[in-house]
Amino acid sequence: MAAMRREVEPARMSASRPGDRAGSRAARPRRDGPRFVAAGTVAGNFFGAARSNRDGDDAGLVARLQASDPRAFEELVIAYQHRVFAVAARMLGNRAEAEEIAQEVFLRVHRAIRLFRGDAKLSTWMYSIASRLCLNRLARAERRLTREEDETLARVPDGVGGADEALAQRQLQAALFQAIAALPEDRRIVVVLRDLEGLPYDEIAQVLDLEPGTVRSRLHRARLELRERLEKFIP
Amino acid sequence: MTCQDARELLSAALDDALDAGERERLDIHLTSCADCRREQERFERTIGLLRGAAAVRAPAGFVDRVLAAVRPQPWWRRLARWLFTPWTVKLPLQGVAVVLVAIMAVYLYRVPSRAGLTRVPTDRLESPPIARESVPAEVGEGPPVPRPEPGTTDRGEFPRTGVEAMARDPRSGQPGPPPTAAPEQQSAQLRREAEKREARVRTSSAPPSEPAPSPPAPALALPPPSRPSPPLPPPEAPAAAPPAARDHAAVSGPPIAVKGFLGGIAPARARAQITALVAGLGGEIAAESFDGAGIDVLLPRARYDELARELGRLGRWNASDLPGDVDPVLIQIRLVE
Repeated sequence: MAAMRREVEPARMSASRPGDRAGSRAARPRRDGPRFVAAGTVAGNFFGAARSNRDGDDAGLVARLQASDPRAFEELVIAYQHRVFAVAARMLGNRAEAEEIAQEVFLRVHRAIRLFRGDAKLSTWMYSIASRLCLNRLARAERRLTREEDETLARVPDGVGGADEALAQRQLQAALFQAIAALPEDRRIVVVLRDLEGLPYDEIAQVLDLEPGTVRSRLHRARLELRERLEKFIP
Repeated sequence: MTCQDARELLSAALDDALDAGERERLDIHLTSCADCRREQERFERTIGLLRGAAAVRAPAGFVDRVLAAVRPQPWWRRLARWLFTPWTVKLPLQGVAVVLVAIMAVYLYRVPSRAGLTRVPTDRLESPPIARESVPAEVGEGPPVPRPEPGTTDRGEFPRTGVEAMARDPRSGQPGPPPTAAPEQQSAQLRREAEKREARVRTSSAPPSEPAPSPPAPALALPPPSRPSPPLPPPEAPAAAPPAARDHAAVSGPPIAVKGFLGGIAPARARAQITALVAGLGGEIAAESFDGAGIDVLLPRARYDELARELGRLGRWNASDLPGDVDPVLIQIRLVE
């Protein structure tokens, strides 16, 4: 039954900038990337092309990193900065701490790259370091998730579709931010990795060192919880 | 498949994470269950919302900051960082270091008193009784004189080592029994008096083999400050001797005033008799030699005559004369055939 196998489309399919499409990330020379982010950009990750290009590059990158090629580390940081930072920001709830953790991730990679055996993908390894550092930081006693105000974690594009749209979009983003931040940490991380970073189940299992069944059930619970919180946005 | 089971699979179904069997069962259920189809739709929308979340991007300059952090810093920077390590790291480390140093100091301080546990060298007891006049000569020897070790060929040098040797063994945990006499307090007091006098007589002729850390300890133990010992103390040193820099506070004692031989009695019986005798006279066994053939007795001067008489009754007792001004007296009894 074809009806059952629906691809999940993002809620807003806005026009993305040319060059944002799958596959272009690896080729982009600029460090920060475009400041204008369309909601649809995230979709690019899910359809695999960007990641498979990345995988090919990564194998060579690892070899160069282990050979202490000076430019290799810089390339690594450029390539992974947004992913690592995004995981940290979503998990910790604020950008300042996220930058701290993200920097620590790269430092650790720099120190330990020679121990990396290549039995997992580089991206898996990076995500696993990032996840672990975030969860450790969150596990520290008495830590309260600092809530940022409505500006949330990312700039919402306002050129798209007028003032009402922009407002609605900002409200949605704020709601998403709150809902994700309200999840317990172990559920939050699976949602971040699956729905925000687009990792497949088996990779999530590797990143978090969990059984695939655990990943599945945690994700299910997380989404149930989110569905509840986002009730008003779901018609 | 029940609705509950089906709903458990919905999330995974949308991720294409079901195996073929699960997929088929779910599909079959969904064709006939509108409620579950609605659930699935709601799930889909939720995931859709999530995936529409604005992508978070790293801030400008992040890459440069990371590269700067990774760059190894010049040595002076690293030194400064080490010096100003956060207190939470530094204090415990320093605390541990202080504790270790303290433990080491205590251990090393205690070692000299353990040196007193060495047994009385047997050669010492075999030497003939020495007249008191030799005491200054013993005392006048300087640091170059090595401490006699058991078994060394030091036999002819007993006089010189008298002070050190004697100071070593009394009440220093010899294999001999501690004083078990009833008048224990009396003996303890005897000991204290003896120590005081000894401290006055003793010179600063510290043996060179003294472990290094002990000098600070004596400075604490003796009320008057100790002076560093000259390599060759002048002959008049004994008379005007400052209190000893070397301190065997735990093992100090009077010099042997009387040396005697007791024969004609079995050693075991002799020891038992002497022990009882000494206890009855208000003295104490100060030391016993390793082979059991030598016993040092510390006794108030007033009781010495009585001791000598009793020893004479036990066996053949030959001893040197009692010196004039010593109290209490330390009597070395050597058991012979």
